[in-house]
Amino acid sequence: MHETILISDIDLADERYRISSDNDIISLAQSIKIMGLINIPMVKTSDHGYIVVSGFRRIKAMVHNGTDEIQARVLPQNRAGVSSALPKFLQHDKGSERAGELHQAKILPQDGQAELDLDLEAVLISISDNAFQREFDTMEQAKAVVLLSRFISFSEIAEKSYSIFNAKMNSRLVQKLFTTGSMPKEIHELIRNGKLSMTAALRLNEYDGETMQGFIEIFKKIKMGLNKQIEIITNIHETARRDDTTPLDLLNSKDIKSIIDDDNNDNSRKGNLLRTLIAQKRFPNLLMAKKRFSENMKQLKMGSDLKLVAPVNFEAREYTFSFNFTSLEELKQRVEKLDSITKNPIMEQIVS
Amino acid sequence: MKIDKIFMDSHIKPCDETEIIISKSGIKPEIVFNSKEVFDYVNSGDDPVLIGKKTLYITENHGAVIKKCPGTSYYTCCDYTILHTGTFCTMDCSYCILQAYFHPPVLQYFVGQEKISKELDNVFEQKKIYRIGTGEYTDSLIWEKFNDQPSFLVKKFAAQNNSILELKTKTVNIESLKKLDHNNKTVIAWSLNTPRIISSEERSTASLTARLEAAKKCESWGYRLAFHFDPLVIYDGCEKEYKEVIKSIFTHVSPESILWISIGSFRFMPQLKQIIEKRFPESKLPYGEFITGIDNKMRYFKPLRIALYQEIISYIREAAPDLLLYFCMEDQDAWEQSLGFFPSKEGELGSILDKSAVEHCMLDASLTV
Repeated sequence: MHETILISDIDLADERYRISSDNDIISLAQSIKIMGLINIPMVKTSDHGYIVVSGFRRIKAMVHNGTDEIQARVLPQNRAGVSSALPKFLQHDKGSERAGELHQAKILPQDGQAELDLDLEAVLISISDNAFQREFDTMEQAKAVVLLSRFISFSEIAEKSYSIFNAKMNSRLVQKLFTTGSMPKEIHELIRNGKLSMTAALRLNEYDGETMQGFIEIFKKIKMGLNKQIEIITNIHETARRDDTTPLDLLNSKDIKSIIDDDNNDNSRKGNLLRTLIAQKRFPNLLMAKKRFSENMKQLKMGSDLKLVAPVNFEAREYTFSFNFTSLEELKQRVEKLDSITKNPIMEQIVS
Repeated sequence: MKIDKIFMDSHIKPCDETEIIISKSGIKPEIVFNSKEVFDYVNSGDDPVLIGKKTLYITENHGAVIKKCPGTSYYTCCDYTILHTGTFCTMDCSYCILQAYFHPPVLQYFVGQEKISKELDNVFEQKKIYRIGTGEYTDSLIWEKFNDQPSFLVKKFAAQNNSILELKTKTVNIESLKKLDHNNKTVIAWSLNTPRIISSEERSTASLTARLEAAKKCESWGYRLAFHFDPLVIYDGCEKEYKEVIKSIFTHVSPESILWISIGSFRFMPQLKQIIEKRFPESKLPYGEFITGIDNKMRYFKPLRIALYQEIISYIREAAPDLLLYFCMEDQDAWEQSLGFFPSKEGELGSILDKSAVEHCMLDASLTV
């Protein structure tokens, strides 16, 4: 049912059905000014007016534009027999009995929030309204799965994912999204801002809150890719296990802290320093050997013409020399240089 | 670990070999027409490896009974020959590669002493020396308490002169070997480690002392012995503890009874790490300083393993200067820097071991290369 309602009657702070992560409304407000509201938002009657089901950004854009009233589709407050209003695929489906019976649920309180009533129909509308217009980001998928999981199982969500999310998901992914969506808000923020991958977040979920916070501090301050994040988490974990200490003690150690908190270094340098330091703790002998090799290389003063490569992890026995040349004269020069290097005692040290 | 379920292949006809296992275990076997039923049962729980250790599948060997040790690329192999009598093990070692090697891991007993006998007869007719062992895919003596498999093999090998049988174990299941006429053709070998590693990483195995006491008994029954320090584990103070183990060997048995001692450090397929972390959450084994080796297995950083080898070899040399030592799957650096030589030619290590076998086990010397 479409109605014209006062925006002041909508509780914009109630975001229980909110899926979208994007808070930027300026361009949308501009578009609405020119084109008008193309898709009307959906609200639901509450004890004190309305709460938003779908169209948070659109309504906020209207507020930004100074509009008082808005056209909205209004869902009535939790109704009996709501299952008749559910999409067919969630009714009388043998595999989704819960959905047929359970159409009211509560969202679990998180970060001090009060417990909130949820309605399956509204949840489905809020997800599908977004999902069929654009691609969800990870946190949007996670939020949607958390909401849906109040009504239907992970396997059912996976089974119906194409109809609900406009994308195919398997149960394992649904489980991972649920875990991610149930993690602290700071983790959500990092994922949303591209500073933490879901894979790394799930690894952090193995830790207590304080340890998780220690890792959050790193990834908040130093942006790095998934592989590097996993490398840091793994090396901290394994070093702690080996040394009978805790990851938190390692994260709080002075040397690690001083790199994270050093504002004089840029992001990339801080990331490299941190990874090297943590790798040194995990693989002290290997890193020492690499350092010694690179110091010896410097002493050989080969310049950029010649390149010496050590065996990977010093496991094989073969070293590789390479050089480029453009003329016979250059080739002679390189060979002469190579010859002098073979006589250098440093070279003997390297290969001994 | 106690077997609590037995499946029996429907193709297997009940015979003495199977009946004795069944009666001693006290478990009525479930007849299966397809091995998939067994694999599904093993895979049904959270810990298929553990279920696989408690589930015996009596079946026949559908593949080769005798095969070459697979070895690995780049690292030097001893050219061992495997007698394939069964798979997996009732003991539970955290580092055991079989956990990741079989999909899923199932304790299998291969019925068919006649088939084994026939295959061995072919080997015994060859004009070359063989070192044959049953301890590659299982422990050689886990069935000793159940049936006569070990004594059948000991007797079989006693009647020829080109092969030795090496029974490799972490058990002390030796009683049935006592009165056998082994004719020096059987070597009883124990895998050894420090008491710390045995208690933390080798569940349900015999203690170090029990193993060495068993070795002493076998020595008194005239058997040749061998020991395998594999896998060596690097941890703080390990050198001192391995030294104690070595001292202990020579207080129990004489160096003259020992055919060889092999040495190898812990190495593993990368997928084993997760299995250890899940099944042995207290184990620190995966957190050593490992690098990816040339065969894509994880190995301790080379200078670390060479340093431990050097220590261990010097302790052994102190007690038994003439004892034959060799590495299992190591490279030229490890050999040269720890043992002072490298068997560089194809089959050279195998030849060295063959010669020792000929000398100690009265094999036909004319067959050595």
